Formats: sequence, structure tokens, C-alpha cells
Amino acid sequence: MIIIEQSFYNNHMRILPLCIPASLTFLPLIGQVRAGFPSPATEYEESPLNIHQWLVRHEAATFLLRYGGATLEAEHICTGDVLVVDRSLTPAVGDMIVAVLHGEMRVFTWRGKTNRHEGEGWLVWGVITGIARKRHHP
Amino acid sequence: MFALVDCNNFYASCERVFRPDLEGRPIVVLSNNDGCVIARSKEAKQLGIPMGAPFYQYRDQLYKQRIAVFSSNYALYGDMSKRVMHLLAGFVPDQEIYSIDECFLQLAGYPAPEALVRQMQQQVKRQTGIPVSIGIGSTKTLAKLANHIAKQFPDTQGIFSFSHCPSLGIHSYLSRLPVGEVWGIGFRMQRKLEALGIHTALDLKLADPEAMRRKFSIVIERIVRELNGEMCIELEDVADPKKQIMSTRSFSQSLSDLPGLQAAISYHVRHATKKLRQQHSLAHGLVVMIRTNRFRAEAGAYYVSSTQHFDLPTDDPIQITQYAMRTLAAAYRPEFAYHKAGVILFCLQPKISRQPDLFTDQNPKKEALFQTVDQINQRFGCDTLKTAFEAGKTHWKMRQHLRSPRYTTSWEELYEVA
Repeated sequence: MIIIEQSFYNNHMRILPLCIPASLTFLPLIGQVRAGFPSPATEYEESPLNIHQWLVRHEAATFLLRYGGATLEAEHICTGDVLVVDRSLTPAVGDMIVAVLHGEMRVFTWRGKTNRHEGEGWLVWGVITGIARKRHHP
Repeated sequence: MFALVDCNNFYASCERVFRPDLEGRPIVVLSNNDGCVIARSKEAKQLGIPMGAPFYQYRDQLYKQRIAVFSSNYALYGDMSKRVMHLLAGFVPDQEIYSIDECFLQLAGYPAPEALVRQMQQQVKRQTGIPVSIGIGSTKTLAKLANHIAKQFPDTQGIFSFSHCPSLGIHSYLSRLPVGEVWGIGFRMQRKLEALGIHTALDLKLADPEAMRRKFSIVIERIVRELNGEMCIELEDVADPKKQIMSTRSFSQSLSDLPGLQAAISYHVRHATKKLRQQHSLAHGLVVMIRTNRFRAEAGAYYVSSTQHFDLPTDDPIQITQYAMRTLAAAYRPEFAYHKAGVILFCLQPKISRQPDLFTDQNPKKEALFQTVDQINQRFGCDTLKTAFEAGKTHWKMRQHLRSPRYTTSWEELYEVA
């Protein structure tokens, strides 16, 4: 399970990053030199870190939901957290999952097939693989 | 060997992904402006709600029969479509995306195509929640027909293959399909074929291809050959760039003032130009259309569509807006109440083949500006930066009272789970 916390240290100046997700538009300019020495780093150029890529393994099967229930301290899930839910995975015992019960989507802990809701039309919707949280909302 | 994968009742299925309570319940989705029914779940079809049903006429019936009604949520449908297509391309890389909810796959060389597509169907349903039907055939036309059969007959469980079907079996299926169900046979062609005694898909399959070419065209000849398993239509890698781009819509209330129309036309120019730039094309000209309400002729009827050719092909939104405003001002007559407006960009050419011009300056800074505008709008929502003609005038915009949240594309509208 993954928790991200983001803080804004500086109250006077907020920096709004203006680049679109790296995979879409970020084209690193390599080796454009007008004068002087070429940068020694050009040959070692790597893409900048991308939190979405880190959190989401199966792009097509992953959905972001907001947790609106009461804080679950033991599970480190707080009200307002963004849950990263992967629908391609099969849950293992102890996994946090989103399941459909009586037509409603809810967060549960997977206890295997012997779940108490067995037989009530319970359906696994996806496995929670990450939690994202902003520390201070700007 | 081709497969055609088609999402079942796609828009209704998308609405169900985040509304599991609607499983098994009837759903309809309305057109832009909540005008008429454009998509129905299986249950809504069974209740007899016709395609294209005007919302205001059916409102009471929809309510009485407890049918869930949604405004169209293209942000959601577009995202779900990308997910489905992405998963399918993971199984078979040769893919032609044919529409928002269908794609062809090239299955040649796969040892067990039926088992493979069964797996696709299960995985797409499990990973995205979208149910799909799959047809397999030795040509695209047969794959499309096989898909139709998979949808029509529940015992196929959504998968039908012509290759496993004895030819007598094929004939019995084809003899039950009206010729209009064959891919590429439109309503008018259906009438013409019926006049020749060709009523079913089987009749067309048994027709003489040479004679069909002489009588109609090479297109019909190809369809006949394809029905007989002879491949004539290849998989297209990339969708052909559109030859023209249209953006048009009716107003939620009619309006007569020029600034109101300018706002609408400017909006449509912006959206059409966005699509133009996305497909890397330039336009040679545009058409501006304004019209009064066809259904309320007593207020006076006026319809004008005015064409303007550009000096040079362009994708510059500001320049195209200027052309459009000039054209609109010339066409506008203040005595009418307008109901609908729109623009068409036409004569599109790939940007790469632009002829440079000695006397006009292709300012590279401008291109950078427009790219930045595109990026900002992509990131913060498509109406963040717009031309000043649109400022503050929103009363002509879409009516979408019943739209579901944009669960997958807006942070503000994420599904809330407890």
C-alpha cells in the first residue's frame, strides 16, 4: 500500500506546474546547443518522475475513487483520500477492496471466500492498490 | 481472419460501471441538449422505447416505467472507450478502431481464435465493466455479420464465428438477416437491391459479383466477394483524417442579438479548430450556418449557410474566428429569432504538406502560443481559455440536466465510496 503526502512549504509563493502528464507532451530537448560547451548531462537524459505512473500499474483497468466514509485508522485511510483501484487484480486475504453490496459500492477488507456477505449478491469491483492524499489543500 | 469487437449498448453500459444498482434496469441516454434518445439498454429496448424518441414526448412514459434517464456524458464514454481499445490491443496488436465502441482485430496466425476472443470478452468485462460481443469471420464484412448474429442470439453468449460453422449453417443464418444488415449496405441501396429480388444477406452472397459491379459499383461487388470469404477490404491502421469538421448545436433558448450569435459561432470555431489541430490538418475555408426554429415557423423562417475561402490554408484559431465573424456579420439579420448555429471547416489537408508563402509570415511564436492554449485547455478543462467573443455568454450552451459525473476525467467528480 502506498501513501503520498504533499505539502506546500511556502505560503507566499505557490508554483503552479504548467506541464501536462509526461507521457503525453513532455518532449525533452536533447543536444540543442547554440554556443559554448554541450551539457555533459545530455547523454544521460531521463524522464522526470511521474507519480501517476508510479501509482498506476494497469492504466486501462485502474480507476480513482474518493473515500467518503469515516477514517479507518488501522488501514491508514482517511476521509477524502483518493483510492487507486485496480480491477485487473484478484484480491488476496487482507487486501482492501471495493465491492458491490446491495447495489452500492463500499470499501471492505477481503477475508477470502468465507466472507460474511457471501450469498448476499456481493461482487468484488476492484483491489485498492494505493492511496493518494494532499496534506494541505491549496 | 478478422474479429469485430463491439461494446453492448455502450453508453448505457458506461453509465452502469459506476452505478451497479442499475444492473438489469432499463437505461436511456439522451442526445446533446437532451433532445432525443440516442442509446438504450437492452431492458429499455424491450420496453419499446424507440431510437430517436423525442424526450419531451416520452418523458411521462420513461418516468412511469422507472427508466433511468441520462444526458450524454461524452467525457466518460470517451475514456471508457480508450480503456477497452487499449486492453484489446494488448491481446492483438493489429487493431483498427472503427468507432467509439467497435474495433476490428487481425487474427491471422493465432492458433485458437475462439478461445482468444473468449478471454478478451472476459477480461474487458472484468477490468472495465463493459460487456462486449465478438464476431469472427474470414473477411471484415463476415466478422461484422458474425457480430450481429452474436448479439441477436443469446445462446452464442456474445461470441459467434463463421469459421466453425458448416456452410449450410451459415446459409441458414444469412437467410434470416435482411440485406440492410450487411456492412456497407445503406437504406437506399437496400431498396434498390430489394427491387432486384435481393432481400436477405444470403441473396446478396449468392449474387454474381461481376453483374453487381456492372449494375451498381465496385463497392457492392466487393461486398459480395467478402460475403463469400474473399478478402477485399484490408485493416486500416490509422483512421483516415476527416475531410471536413463540423461543430453545430441548437440553443437552449432562441436568441436574436448579434453578440449572442458571435459567442456561439466563436465557441464552434474553437471546438472545430481544436479537432483540426488534433489531426494535424489545415483548412482551406469555412461555412457559417445560422437558422431559425423549423418547428416554430410562425416566428419567421430564415436559414443561411455562408461559405468563406481562406487566403491560405490555416489552423490558426484567431484567424479562423476573424473569418467567421466577418461571414456571420454579413449573414446576420436582426429580425429573426435564431435556434441553431454552427460551423464547418472544409478542404482539409495535412499540415505537413503546407506550401510556404513568401509574403505571409508564418510566425513560429504563434504556433507555440496555440500549443500552450491547447495544453492549458486539456489540463484545466476545454473551456478555460477562449476568445473574448464568448465571454460571459453561456445561455446558448448545452442543456444537460441529467448528466452523470465525469468519474474518470474530473477530480471534482470522482465517485465517492464509503
